[in-house]
Amino acid sequence: MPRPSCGRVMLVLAQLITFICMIGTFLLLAAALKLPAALATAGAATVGLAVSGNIGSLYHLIEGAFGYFDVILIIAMAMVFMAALEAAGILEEISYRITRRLGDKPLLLSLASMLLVMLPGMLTGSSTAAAMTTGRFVLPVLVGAGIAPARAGAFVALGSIIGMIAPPVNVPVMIIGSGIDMPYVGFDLPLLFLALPAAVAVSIWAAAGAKKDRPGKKPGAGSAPFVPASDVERISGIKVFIPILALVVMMFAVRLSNGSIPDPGIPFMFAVGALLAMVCGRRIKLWDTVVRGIGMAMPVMGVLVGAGMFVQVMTLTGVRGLLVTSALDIPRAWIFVAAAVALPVFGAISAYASSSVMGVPILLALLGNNEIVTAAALSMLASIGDLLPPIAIVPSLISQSSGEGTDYRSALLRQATVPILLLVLWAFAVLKWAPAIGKLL
Amino acid sequence: MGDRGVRGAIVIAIALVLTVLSAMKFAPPGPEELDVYPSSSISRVAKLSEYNTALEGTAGDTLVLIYEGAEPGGAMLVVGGAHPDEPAGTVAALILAENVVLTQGKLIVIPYANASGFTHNLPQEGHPSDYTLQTPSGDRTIKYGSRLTNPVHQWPDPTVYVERVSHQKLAGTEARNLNRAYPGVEKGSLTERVAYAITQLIIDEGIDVSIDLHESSPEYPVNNAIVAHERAFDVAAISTLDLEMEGVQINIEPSPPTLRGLSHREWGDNTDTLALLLESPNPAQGRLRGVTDAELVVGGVDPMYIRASERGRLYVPYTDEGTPLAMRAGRHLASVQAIAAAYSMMAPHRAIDICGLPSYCDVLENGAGAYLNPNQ
Repeated sequence: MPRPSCGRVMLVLAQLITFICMIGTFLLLAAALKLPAALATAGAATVGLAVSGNIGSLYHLIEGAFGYFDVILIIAMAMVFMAALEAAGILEEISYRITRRLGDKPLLLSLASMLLVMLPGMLTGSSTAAAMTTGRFVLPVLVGAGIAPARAGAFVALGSIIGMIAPPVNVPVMIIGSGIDMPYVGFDLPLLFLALPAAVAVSIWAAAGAKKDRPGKKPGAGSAPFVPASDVERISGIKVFIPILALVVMMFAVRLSNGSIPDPGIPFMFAVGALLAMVCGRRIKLWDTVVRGIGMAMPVMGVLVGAGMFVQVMTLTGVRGLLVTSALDIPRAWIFVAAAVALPVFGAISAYASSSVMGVPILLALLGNNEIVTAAALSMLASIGDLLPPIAIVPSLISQSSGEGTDYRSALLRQATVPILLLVLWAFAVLKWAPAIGKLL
Repeated sequence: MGDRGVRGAIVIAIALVLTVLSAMKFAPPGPEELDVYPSSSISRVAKLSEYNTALEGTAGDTLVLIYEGAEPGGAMLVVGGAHPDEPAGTVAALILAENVVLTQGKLIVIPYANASGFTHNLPQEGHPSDYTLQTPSGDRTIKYGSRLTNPVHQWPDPTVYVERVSHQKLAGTEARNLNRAYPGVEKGSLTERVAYAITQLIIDEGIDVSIDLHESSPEYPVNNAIVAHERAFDVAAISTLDLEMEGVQINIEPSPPTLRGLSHREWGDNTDTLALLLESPNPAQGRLRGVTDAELVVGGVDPMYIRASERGRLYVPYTDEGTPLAMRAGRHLASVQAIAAAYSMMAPHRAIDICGLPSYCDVLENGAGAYLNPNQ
């Protein structure tokens, strides 16, 4: 039985009320009652179900919660890996060595660090993998070189996103492409065109910060918190690099094998890395390390579970459709602006979800605008969402694992605000002039 | 045990109860829920595992219905349910299987091609787990699944799915997409095994014409269309003449040679069959849709799509009438008949004579359910 057309306005009104109730509940629980963001999003989703008359279908909450299951596994094992490296003393040893070599050459250090941070993202298409592997290594190095912790954290977060966008693997582009049956072919140059200037600019910004943040202090001579207390605690030789090298080699091997080596998955690679850390550094207690790693991952994993429920209820109740349709309900010229706003904002829940939900319809609305360059630019806009609150998954993970305290995430985000805006502007420019850029490439 | 221990035990107990209750809801149902009542023309009910023994006993095994006419002729394969969230494909295949009278040639119907995909829904899509159609013998509930194989049956996904023919890279979840897995791998992943079995069936049974029934969202450019492999272009072109006479406007789209793993490309490249894929507009799978429920799946009316159509954002006509399931399944049925007729005209010695099916107008007027269960 088709719905009566006279009810169109009422339906839109009902969807608006549902959305307002969900957002209101989230704010009430998170801001007023100070509940964790995970519980606030889950509560908001439950209220959305109730207001829309679907409270009998609680299974939607469970189904939605599984939307980010694979990402949650990556985060859990990445945190266990980091906890193992930290407990084994590997993190501080590598940071110490790099700082000693490059600590007084800030630009060279930040360019090398950017390449290191980007590498896992380039190989896996995951900003989380980048932030939690090489990203976590360079963070204390940059701090030791005289860059303020907040700026160093912002550098790692931005580098992780740029790595996620850079070729050869860009998962958001693959998701957008699969929505319109566009093969992942011919994207290398457009993605490099997007990522390279961004990487260089962020590196220069970080290097400039090294002098600005510690005026009058010789870079590299700072009292870096990771400097080992005594030679007894130092780990000698090259074995200190084995866990991280093994991780990068596994990622490379899987990517270069073109499917001939089965992909064991990023969580497995992190688990292998964690086990290697146990034999390459100081003796550590396995159970305690796992508990510490999972404990660090728990708030972010919880938020993703809540966000999954939230998105499921938005879709079920038509709120998602209302938002997407409204974003497209404008003249074509304004769609570029809508993309620059809607993709990062929706990406704040999940970059992958934003690529699918917003990226595909926007690309369809922009057919004829050089689809390859357009999809590349849209993937950058969606990926930037990984930096934005409320979830701000990459800054949250860096903050959780850094031990810098509760205000660190906010300080990091404040530092990153201007670079994020510049990245959005850059992606917007590429999107707007995609046909000309396509000809150039 | 201290206070902390008690609290921990309570939390774990609650989590266990929720896990058990959820598992009861989400545990994949058995294959018996994918029912079909073949017409009296049925010659043999087979299983897909006959064409790839690596599928035996797995969730990917599914029914293969074989009809043979009294007169020898050509052979046609119709595949529904490759994407279980595209219900017109499944329903059209069921109507075909339950009503067909075959006088000449051979017809093979697979109504639930990705059987595993029918056992779950994609998270965050808010889809119903089933929908109900009114049939002459009562209500019939049909599963509404996911375009991907159930991760309970195939997991984990690779980070990036590297398609086997030309090593094309796709998002990792596409490793569970049957229509990206052709021609398949005999002992590969579950999805690849299913794909291999279908390709092998085409070869073993000497299929002349193969049709894959799909749907796409109304904002997708390839819609109300026949996607044809280059060798199948003529048969597609002739069939559109018949369809237009019946009031079914349809486009012909060439199968892109660069897009690998899809049925219309790999069946055509790896076998002698003429490979075609049909698309109809399904608002329940689009990204612009509003309230998502069984009513949308069957009725096909969505205010968000009406609004998008008014703004010129769609590639198909979309009015207050929407695109009901009856219309979409009717289009597929009419197209299957027209393609069979076109092929029979082009190759009379390999003719396939399909009778007993309702016309497009019949299905539109009486609903798809009116032609289900006639043999129950």
